[in-house]
Amino acid sequence: MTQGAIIVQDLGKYYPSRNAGRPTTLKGYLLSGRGARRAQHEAEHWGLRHVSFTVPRGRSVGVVGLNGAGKSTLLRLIGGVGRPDEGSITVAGRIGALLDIGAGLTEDLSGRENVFLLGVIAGMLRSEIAEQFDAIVGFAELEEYIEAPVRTYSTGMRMRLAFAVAIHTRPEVLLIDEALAVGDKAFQHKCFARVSEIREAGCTIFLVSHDVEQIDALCDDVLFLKGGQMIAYGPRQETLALYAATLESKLSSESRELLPQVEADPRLEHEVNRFGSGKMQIGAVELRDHAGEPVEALRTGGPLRVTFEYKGSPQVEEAIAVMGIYAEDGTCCYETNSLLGNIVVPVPDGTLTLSIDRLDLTAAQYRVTVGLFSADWEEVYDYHAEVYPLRIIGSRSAKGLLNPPVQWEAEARLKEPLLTRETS
Amino acid sequence: MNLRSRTALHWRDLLLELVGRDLKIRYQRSAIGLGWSLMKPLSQLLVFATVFSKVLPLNIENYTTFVFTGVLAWSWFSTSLTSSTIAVTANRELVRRPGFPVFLLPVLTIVSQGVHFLLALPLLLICAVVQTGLPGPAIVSLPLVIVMQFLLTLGVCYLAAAAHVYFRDVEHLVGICVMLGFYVTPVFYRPIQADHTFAFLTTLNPFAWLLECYRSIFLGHAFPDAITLAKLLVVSVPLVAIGAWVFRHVSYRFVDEL
Repeated sequence: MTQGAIIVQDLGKYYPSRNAGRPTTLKGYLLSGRGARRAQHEAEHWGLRHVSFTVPRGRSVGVVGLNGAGKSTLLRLIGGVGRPDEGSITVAGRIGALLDIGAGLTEDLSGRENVFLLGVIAGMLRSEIAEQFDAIVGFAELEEYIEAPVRTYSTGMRMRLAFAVAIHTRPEVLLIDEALAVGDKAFQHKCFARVSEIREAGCTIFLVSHDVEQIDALCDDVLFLKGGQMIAYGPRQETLALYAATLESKLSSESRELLPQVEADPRLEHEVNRFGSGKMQIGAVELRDHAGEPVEALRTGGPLRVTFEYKGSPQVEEAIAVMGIYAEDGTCCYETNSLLGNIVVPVPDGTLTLSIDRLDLTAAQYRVTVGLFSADWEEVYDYHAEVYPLRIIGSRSAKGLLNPPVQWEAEARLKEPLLTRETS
Repeated sequence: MNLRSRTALHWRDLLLELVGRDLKIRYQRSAIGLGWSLMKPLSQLLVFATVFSKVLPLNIENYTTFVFTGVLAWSWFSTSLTSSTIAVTANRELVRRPGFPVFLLPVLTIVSQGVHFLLALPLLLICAVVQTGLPGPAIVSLPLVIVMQFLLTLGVCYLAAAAHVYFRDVEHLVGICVMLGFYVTPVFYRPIQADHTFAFLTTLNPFAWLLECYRSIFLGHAFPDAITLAKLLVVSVPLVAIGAWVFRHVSYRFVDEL
């Protein structure tokens, strides 16, 4: 028998509906008669219902689902905030939480005082915080400013401080809610590494995130919630695939009346890296080399042809196509559109190709973005943000994004040697 | 370290840090710091001592000490009650944090107001010594009376804080009750004689019993009446128990109501 670190049985939680909330003043309470109160009871809706699962000790579980699926509610209930209306939750071990990072900092107190304050609030003893103080400050990279009041800190510094405390609480069960996107890229990387480290140390992790890549990297199992119900709970890859499929069906069900369904790329996620009204839909996007062969990697300085098909509803009259190349950190390396190229995008259906004769980018990983907009830029028809990977291989430049063909020319001048002048 | 003692230690540390934060925020950037906490009771004292010994003499012996005792004890109670009422609603962040013991919030405000009370206590003692001479051995019973007041306040605060989460107008209601309570309780006048029509205001008022205990220590140099103490205990312990039970019972719903 595996011992469960988190055991959730037939969990249910209801909420009063938003518009007919219960009165928060005495007057409101007295005025709403008996009948009115019963009507409110019916207006309540279940935020979670019939959710049961067990997380074995040391496993890490990612929770996916659309907005309002009950992910955060579930996380808070596991954290002991609020009480379920049905069923039970058992958590074995000390709970640490990365939620609402940055809330609870006290402006007028110094960084040092805030470390102690956040630490005790997170469940540590003062002696434990004192022991780890240097590690916390070191992790936050705030050694120089730790005595300064937090009101003088930048947003990034606050986040780093709060995160550093939260991550040093030595939890046995760690709850994370969309909290790994803190500070700059380098710090995010550090946070990520630290969470992996905690995971390897045998901590049970329960992670809510919209970032499927993050879940892919950190979790063993995935729990998929939809409308407060548990759709699936199981090994990561299967559940994520199911999740992706549901997203696709959501996307297509919204625009089914408009046009025949276009086969969607599994890398696409609505509202995450795919946006738009769906009046036009981009189908297969292909990156090809000079010979017209599909490629994922390209030599630096080589030609690139980006081709994509699209289908649209008949009411679309004009459109603008956009194509861009982005670096891994989101920096835009290049972007152009059909207006700049004086090209009319054929509607409603068609294929567009953009040929780049030389792509003098430095060797690294990039992503290609494609999109279709209305002629006045007011409406996004379909936009695939940094979806299609493109690897550039070859020589690297020392710094920067460009890697054009270059040549050094050097000429030695030995008529006036430097050394002789110094010794004379 | 076993789990129970660790929890106790953690609560202690939480109290220390959060009370410390309260005091630091309030006084860090002010010129006379904690001195401000003495200003309100002292100015009240000034008014009462002038009005009721010179303008409308009440003919109470050692009136300054008498009214000082009342004002100090009452202001601890009233400030605790008004700030405890909003303790839960004003600390959303803490309430929503996993593992945070919400029931500590009212305790926290009472303790942090209690710090002001304790800081003013030496002044009261000096005042009493000047007017009535050195206190006798009865002074050792003072902590007991303070504990009584703490319990009494805590019980009321739990109920008020819990109610406020559901009905935001409790805040105003509490404000009015505190104001009325001040006049109903013999803070600046002599306890009402037993044969008076309104005698019940004194005889059935736990806070009046409490003031009687304080005054017997500071003015009479005598141990508080055992029966009065017993009555206080009989009222405050069940009150805390009920208050804590109600608070605990509804505290699970706090998150949804906030």
